[in-house]
Formats: sequence, C-alpha cells, structure tokens
Amino acid sequence: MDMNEPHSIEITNLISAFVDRIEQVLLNRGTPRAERTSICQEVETQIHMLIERRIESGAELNIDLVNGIIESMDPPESYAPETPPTAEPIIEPVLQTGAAPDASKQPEMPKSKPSVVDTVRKFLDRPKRTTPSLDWVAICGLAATCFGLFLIVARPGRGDGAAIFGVFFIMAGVTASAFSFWRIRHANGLLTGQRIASIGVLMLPFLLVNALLIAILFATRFGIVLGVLTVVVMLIYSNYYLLQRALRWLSVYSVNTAEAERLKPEVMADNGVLSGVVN
Amino acid sequence: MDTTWLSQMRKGILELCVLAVVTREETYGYAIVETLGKIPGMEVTESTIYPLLARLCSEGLLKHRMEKSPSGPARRYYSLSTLGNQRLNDLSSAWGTIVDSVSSLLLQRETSIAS
Repeated sequence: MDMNEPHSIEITNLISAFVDRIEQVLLNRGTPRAERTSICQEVETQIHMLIERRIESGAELNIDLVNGIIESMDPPESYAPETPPTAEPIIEPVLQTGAAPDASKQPEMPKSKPSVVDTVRKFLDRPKRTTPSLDWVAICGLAATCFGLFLIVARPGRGDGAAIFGVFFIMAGVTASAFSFWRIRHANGLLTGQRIASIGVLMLPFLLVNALLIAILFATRFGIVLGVLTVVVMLIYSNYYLLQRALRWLSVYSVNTAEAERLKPEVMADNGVLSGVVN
Repeated sequence: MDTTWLSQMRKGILELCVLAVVTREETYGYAIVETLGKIPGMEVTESTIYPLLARLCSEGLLKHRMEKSPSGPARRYYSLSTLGNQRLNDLSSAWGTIVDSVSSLLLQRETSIAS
C-alpha cells in the first residue's frame, strides 16, 4: 500500500485503531506480551494483504475499502480466549480506574513488560506538536550548557580543574539521577509531568562518562595509558548497560501511562466490559 | 442448531491441523488461515488461528522468521521446530488411534441397525 496515497493517514489510523482494540482485548485477558505482539502483527499483515489484493483486482484505495475489509474480519472481542491462560500472570494490575462507576466489576489490567522497541514505536507514533514545549526547550538548553562546560573545562592545559569538575559532575549526576528515580517511583505509574525526571535518569550514564573522561584527561598526565584505556572500555560498557536498563525500566511506565490514558473513556461501561473506539 | 460441541471438537484438533499445514512448507499466518478455511469441516478464521500460532511459538513448537513485505508490515513465516515435529508425530499417532476406534464403533452401530 502506497502511503503517499490520499487518505493514507486516515487509513493508517483506521488500521491502528482496529489492531489496538484487539491488543486491548488480549491485554484484558492477560495474554503475554509476546503473544499479543504476534497476534496484532498477523492481523495487521492480513489487512495489508487484503488491501493489496483488492487493489490488484482493480479497487481504489480509500477509507471505504479498508472499512469493508475490517468489517469482514473477526471482531476484536473474538480474540479473547474462552479460558484465560493457565500460566502465572507476568504482570500485576497497576491502573487506577477510580473514574468508573463500579470499580469492582472492571477487568484487571495487567502491567506489561514492553521492550525498548515498543516504547520507541509508541513515542514515534504519538501525536506530534507543532511547537516544542517549554520542557523540551529547557532540557535541550541544559544539555547544551553541560556539554559546552565540558568542552571548556576539558580542553588541554586545565588538568587539575578538569579533575575537580569531573568529581563535581559525578556528584551532581548521581544526586540528580537519584532524585529523578525517586520522583518516577512515586509517580504511580504515570509519567505525565515527569519529563525532567525521566531525562535525569537517562542522563546519569552520560554524566558519568563525561566526568570520567575528564578525570582520564587528568590521569593520563601520569602516563598510565594502558590502565586508563582498560578502565575507559569497562566504563563505556557499564554505561551502555545502565542506559539499556534505564530505558527498559522507563518503558514500563511510559507504556502503562499510554494504556491508562487509552482506557479512561472505555472503562465507563457498568458491565465491566471494555468497549468503544481506542484513542 | 447448537454447534458448540462441533466447535469444541474442531478446536481440539486444530493444533494438529496447524502443525500439519506448517510441516508441508514454511508459511505465513494468513496462508494458514486460508488453507484451513478451505478444508470442509474446519472453517476456522483468523481470531482462532493467530492466537494458536502465537501459543505454539511460545511453547517452542513453531519457530518463525520475519520477512519484509512489499506492502505493509513484515510477514512472519512459520516452520516446525524439532519439538513441534515430535508433537506432530504424537498427535498424528493419537489421532489415528482415535479415528480407528471411533470408526470401529460407528461401523458396529451401522451393522446392528442393518441387521
């Protein structure tokens, strides 16, 4: 399907909404993430294949065509297995559904463990702003300032000062990151308004690398190049590992946030059945 | 007409059918749906097959690889794992026994009616 076609955005949204509803049904039934992903990918592939076939047979690509295809497929509710999976749930309920009339009847919403790829995909798929928010301006400014300071202090001939600045960076980085972790931990799974804290957590490895590189500049004056190189490699690896863990940890919260927001208008049904169009 | 029993029976043998389709050649999800959908008596749809494929993959009976598609998302191509092959043999054997036994029972019934 050519995404440059007219109505391509509407068509993509239509397909995404259908697949999202299926994923929601599966999520409510406690289907493991890997299986949910697999099922949703299959459904999406099938829709695209059917569109392709219709186009090859002379049909015109438009909303009606895609709507017809989706209507000809099994409804999302039919993806719920008759018996819930026997495996221990890999996730626990985290969503606050107090806005619903009868919370006791609401289905349990399990907490998924999304991958970094899922998180990145959701981030890229989010509604785009036409202008940058004040948060992002502040974050970019802060990052540019830190990097500029690093370049100034770390230039040759500033050895002692650089080392002191390195220590300062470590202390500041650890303190800021600890505070960020604390804020996110107490955010009840909702990252709304936690951008600065999230960035703080993600900045920790970079702050440490910066600090250590500055320290290395100081240390190499004493000719311990080999040892320093070894330490640098180890530190880069551990920073990479830390960054991965931080991303994975953050992704759980961000996806739960998205799911919580997505479910808000839908858990209103008093029979406890989720229904309606997914945002 | 209440067809619940038929649906249950179909589901019971669906795993065997899916494994049998996949063992013939590496194939993708919708092709399996189409193949089984054309078999008289099976008539399954995607909402039955895709969850089953996902479960079989989770259990290690099927393995899959992703292949780029000229249009739309990448396709998952399924093939039997060693474990899946073993399961298929076990299920085939059990199926043969059941079919023989049930056929024998039905034959006895037909014989008694005729006499």
